[in-house]
Amino acid sequence: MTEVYGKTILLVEDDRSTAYIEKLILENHDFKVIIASTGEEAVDATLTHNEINLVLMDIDLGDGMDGTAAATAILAVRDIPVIFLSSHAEREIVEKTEGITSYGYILKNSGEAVLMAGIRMAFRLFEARSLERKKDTDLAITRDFNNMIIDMSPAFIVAIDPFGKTMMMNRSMLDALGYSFGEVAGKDYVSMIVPERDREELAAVFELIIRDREKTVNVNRILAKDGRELICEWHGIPVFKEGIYNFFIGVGLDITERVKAERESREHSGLRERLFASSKMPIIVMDALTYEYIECNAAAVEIYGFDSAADIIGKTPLDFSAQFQYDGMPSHEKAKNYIAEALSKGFVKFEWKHRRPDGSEWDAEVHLMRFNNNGNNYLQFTLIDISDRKKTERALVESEMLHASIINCTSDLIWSVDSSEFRIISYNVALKDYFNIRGIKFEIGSLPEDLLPAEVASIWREYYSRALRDKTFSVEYTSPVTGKILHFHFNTLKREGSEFGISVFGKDITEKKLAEVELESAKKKYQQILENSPVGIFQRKLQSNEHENEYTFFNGSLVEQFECSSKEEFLKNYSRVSDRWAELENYEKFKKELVENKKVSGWEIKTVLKTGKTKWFLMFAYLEETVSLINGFTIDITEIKTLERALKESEKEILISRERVSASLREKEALLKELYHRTKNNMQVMCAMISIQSMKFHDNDVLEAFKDLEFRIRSMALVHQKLYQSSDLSNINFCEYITDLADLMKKSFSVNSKYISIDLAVEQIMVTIDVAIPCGLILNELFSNSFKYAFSKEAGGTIRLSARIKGNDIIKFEYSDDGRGLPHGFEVSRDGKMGLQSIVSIVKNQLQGSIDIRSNNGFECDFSFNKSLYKARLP
Amino acid sequence: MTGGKMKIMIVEDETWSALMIANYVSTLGHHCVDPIAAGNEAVRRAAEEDPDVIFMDIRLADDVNGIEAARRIADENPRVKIAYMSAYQDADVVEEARKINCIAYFNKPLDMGEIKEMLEMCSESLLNKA
Repeated sequence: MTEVYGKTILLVEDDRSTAYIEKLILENHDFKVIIASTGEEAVDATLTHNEINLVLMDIDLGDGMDGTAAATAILAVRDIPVIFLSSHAEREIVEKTEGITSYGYILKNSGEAVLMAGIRMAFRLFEARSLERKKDTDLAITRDFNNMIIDMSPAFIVAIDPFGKTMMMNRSMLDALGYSFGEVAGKDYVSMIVPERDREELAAVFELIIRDREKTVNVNRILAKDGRELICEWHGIPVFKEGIYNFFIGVGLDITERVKAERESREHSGLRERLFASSKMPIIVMDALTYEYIECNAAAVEIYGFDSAADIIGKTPLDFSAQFQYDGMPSHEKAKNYIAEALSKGFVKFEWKHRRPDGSEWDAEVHLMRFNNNGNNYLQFTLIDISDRKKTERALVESEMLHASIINCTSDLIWSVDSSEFRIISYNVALKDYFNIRGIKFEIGSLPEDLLPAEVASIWREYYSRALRDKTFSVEYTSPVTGKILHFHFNTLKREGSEFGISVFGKDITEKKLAEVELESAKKKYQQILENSPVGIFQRKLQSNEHENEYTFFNGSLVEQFECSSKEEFLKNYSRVSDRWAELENYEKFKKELVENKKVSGWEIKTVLKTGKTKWFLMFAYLEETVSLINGFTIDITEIKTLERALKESEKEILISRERVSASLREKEALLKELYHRTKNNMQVMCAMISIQSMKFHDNDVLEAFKDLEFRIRSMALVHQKLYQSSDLSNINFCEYITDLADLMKKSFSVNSKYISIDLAVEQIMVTIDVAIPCGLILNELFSNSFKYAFSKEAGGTIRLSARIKGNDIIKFEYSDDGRGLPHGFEVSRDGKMGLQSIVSIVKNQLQGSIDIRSNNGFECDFSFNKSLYKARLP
Repeated sequence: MTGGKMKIMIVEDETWSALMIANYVSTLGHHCVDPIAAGNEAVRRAAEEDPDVIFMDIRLADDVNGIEAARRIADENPRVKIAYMSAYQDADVVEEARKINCIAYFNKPLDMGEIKEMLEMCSESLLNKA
């Protein structure tokens, strides 16, 4: 195996990321890598970097020099293997490399293994070619990749398919026979090339090859176009793919001249000695018993790598052999077998792996013959250096297999037809499978009509004709059989300027088409969603010039929000920022925030429409920075804004009216206070009137009546005072009132606290004027009564008064004194004075309560009523 | 009781009330000048009459209220005793009145017993001083 590790590769690739990845892969395989990104750089690099061993050349290099031009320039100054890389498998791209010494053509993304195999191949090929060049074999390599290696070989190379049809024939063989490739492609090899008398024998050889799967060597004649016969020594190699016989490669050496020379040599025996010595063919004579070399010519000395015959004479074959032969057998055993065979059969021919004194190995074809001289057996053999052929052979098989595997592993359909009848001349496995699955017999030489229904075949004939006319064209084709959509690319195949066939590359794009359709429908769906969204959605460019901003998208809602009837109207009226933003400083803030934060949420925008109407929008936006696009969403909040404003207004109004109400309330309070004050004042006037009026009388009863009157008025006036002092001007504290009333009464009657004490137990009860005044009058009567009649001046006594809330707003009063009590058999209605009668009347009628007056170790009076009786009257 | 006879001035815009007090005071043997209804008038007459005790209503007929009139009278005649009368019982008004030569603050409707007590007290203090 060629040593490739540590070699330096110039990687020519304009795409930096691809270059980086490939560099990593190569370095991973211990290559050193130099990268050039343009063709010009690549040429410079190969001139300055002598260590570069191989160039990986991308064909498409952008604007400058392309890959093929760069390779041509490089090869003009340096002999270096160049491998082309391309992402296209089209034949036109491959054809670009025509005329350039190519060492391979690799599809990008074929995978690491393919890349590495390609590189190793190229190195081997390069070595093989270097040797060729040493021998000044000027091999013009002007074929496309398929035929390049084959054509450069001086040996005849032919590939035959399992049906015996010629698949390929190399340049040297075609030249020797006088055919063009078009004439032999797809034709039956045996009937065309092999003379009639040899055909039977050759058919047997093919059978043997296929059965034993082994290489064969045989000599047979081939027929040139002009009827000449050439004698060839054939090395047959069957090529198997996945265990199945795929095709046959024959590598042949034209030995016509040699055979003729041998014949002449036999005819002119006198020349033998001289011929032996001067023959360019190395000849060695060996003792059949000892295996010692006893004679050799100058050619043999040279081929063995020695200086004189003396270095060779006396040695045995093992001194010139590699340790093991091709099949792994030790050379000494193998040699014994061949010698024994030669001795028994008289002649044996084989290939032998030799070794020179410097250790290098070389390949030779050995013709070993037995001859007898004076009763002694001798062996004589000739050597033909077949190192190059072997190398080429190995490289060829590998290259062919690599290529076939690439072509055959793809599911794309690849084939070619000839340009005259459109017969199939080559095809890949995918195509064969396509027909075989359908039970259609498919082979080299099939016509479109053999494979397809007549009407479809005629379509294909049209395609082929068009390809010949247009050189290249593509077509999208829906198979009438499978319904699949295929993309076919047609290219004409040229040899020496004339078209000999058409290549077709077919790709199943059904899935792609379906995906496209799906994508389209998904796109439509999303567009519909966007279009029908109630939110205004748009996309526009963010530009420094605010007067022009192009929308890349906007939906119907946006148009509606701006109250336009069409998208055109919207664009006409609102394409400038100032059309949409009533406050440009607000836009500046918005833009600043958008650029800083990449997004803006809930931005309020005021817009004045062309109709003069003011609108408000709430905007959400984000920036697609890499493309400087704003994606925006707008919601019309004009109504909300209007409501908001109305709400604010009404709040203000409420505040004002509340102010007014409280002012008016204060005013009312003042008025009420004034009213209470005046009432009370009027009562004072009334008291004064009574007082003055009473002065005219001297009767005690009359005076007392006046006095009672005055007290009643005063007890009422006290209620007004309490009301005037109370916080809410409507309720008075009953406890305070009763206490004050009791004090007032005591003073008015000049009651001496020493003798008469008043014991009050009044709960904190709030009552209204409607309750307080009648109660005040009742208590006034009760106190007066007790002060006047209950007690003797000397004994005195105690008055008890309690007032408490019972249950639901019921106030219960319990009044008692420990005085004389009522006279026996006293009845208020009958015997009571005005005062007591008024009490009963007030409780029952005015307060709608109950009252009980009785004597029990003094005077007792209980009464109760509902304090909320008059509540309904109050506002 | 002759020695305790005092000159009394009544400042009250309600005629009936003024009359009632005047009658009552007279029955107790004191000398009453004619009741006065306005604050300015009260100040002027007080300067002329130089009363011992003044019954001063808080609210008066003109724009000078009882407190203001009392202040001006007291400035001229620091020994005068003033008995205020009002249906007002506002704490701040009462507080203000108490600072100006106050002998009593009567709540309306008036209690004649209270008035009698007050006059007896004044009369005694005048006698003591004499």
